Amino acid sequence: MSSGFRRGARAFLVLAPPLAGFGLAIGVLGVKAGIEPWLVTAASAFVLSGSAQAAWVGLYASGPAAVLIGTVGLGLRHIPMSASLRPLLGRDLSLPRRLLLAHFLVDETYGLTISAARNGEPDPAGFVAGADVVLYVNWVGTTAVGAYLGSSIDPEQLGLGVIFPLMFLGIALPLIHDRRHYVTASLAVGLALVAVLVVPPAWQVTGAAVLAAAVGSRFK
Amino acid sequence: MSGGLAVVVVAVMAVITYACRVTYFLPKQPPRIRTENPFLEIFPIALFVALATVGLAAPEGRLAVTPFLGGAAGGLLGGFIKRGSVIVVVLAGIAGYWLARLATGGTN
Repeated sequence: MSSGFRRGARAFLVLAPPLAGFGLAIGVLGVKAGIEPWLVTAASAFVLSGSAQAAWVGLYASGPAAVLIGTVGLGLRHIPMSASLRPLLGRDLSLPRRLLLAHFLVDETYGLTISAARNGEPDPAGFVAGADVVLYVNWVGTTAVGAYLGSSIDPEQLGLGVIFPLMFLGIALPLIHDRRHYVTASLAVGLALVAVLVVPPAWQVTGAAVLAAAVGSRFK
Repeated sequence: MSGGLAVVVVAVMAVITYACRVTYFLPKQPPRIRTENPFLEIFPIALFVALATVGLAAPEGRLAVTPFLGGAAGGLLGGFIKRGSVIVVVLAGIAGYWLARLATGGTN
């Protein structure tokens, strides 16, 4: 186990409690939507995407087409994510390791790794692997607890829904340093608000982020 | 959605999501995209800000004044106090959310 792996695992432990709240909520809400507990848990293991799973639970009654269109819209953001993360991981990764790391490309560990690499982390590949392991155990475990044991929990009553966007805010803030970053962040806020009004839910984040980055990247 | 169909939907979701994730992990050589590429440098900021904005400003899919905005204010204040700490942002945001929720009568 490399020291980068340990640093990544330790870094993600900070995010584990808030993420556990969201995993619990997904488990509870999935079962309340009529999905079998084992399938809610399996989705966490094999899809491993909080936003896609939240859309799945929310759109479950609308049928497969709505769910899958939503999955495409939410999934497309992973393409630029993989493009920006891959060069940081070096040229020596074996194919099995690359294929495995790709499965764990999720918002939270991606954000932490980008931030760590920009702050001089010498082993981003080990770092992201360590963070991924903690995230995976946490996410699948808490979803299972919510799905099997959470029938008496009301996520809305507990206010668990606010935790997930706050985590994203907490990941974004340390990345913002110069004027171009502030402009991009402002654009992302504005475009996300407009997207909520005029774009189907599954495409709001991807559309706003890509457009904000495209415009912001031209700003000197 | 029947049991069998639900399983197929989850399998297709997994394939779609993985296909998007693996795009730049397949080639042995990292893509010829320099990390200094301006778009890729600022894409994480745009992504996480958009995720936070949609989640806090429209928690139920439409823009509305809800205690989540109190959470946003608390989170920003937490970030102002200790910028590099995700947990401070989350805890300050949760405090802001509950303050706003209690002030507006305890509803979500």
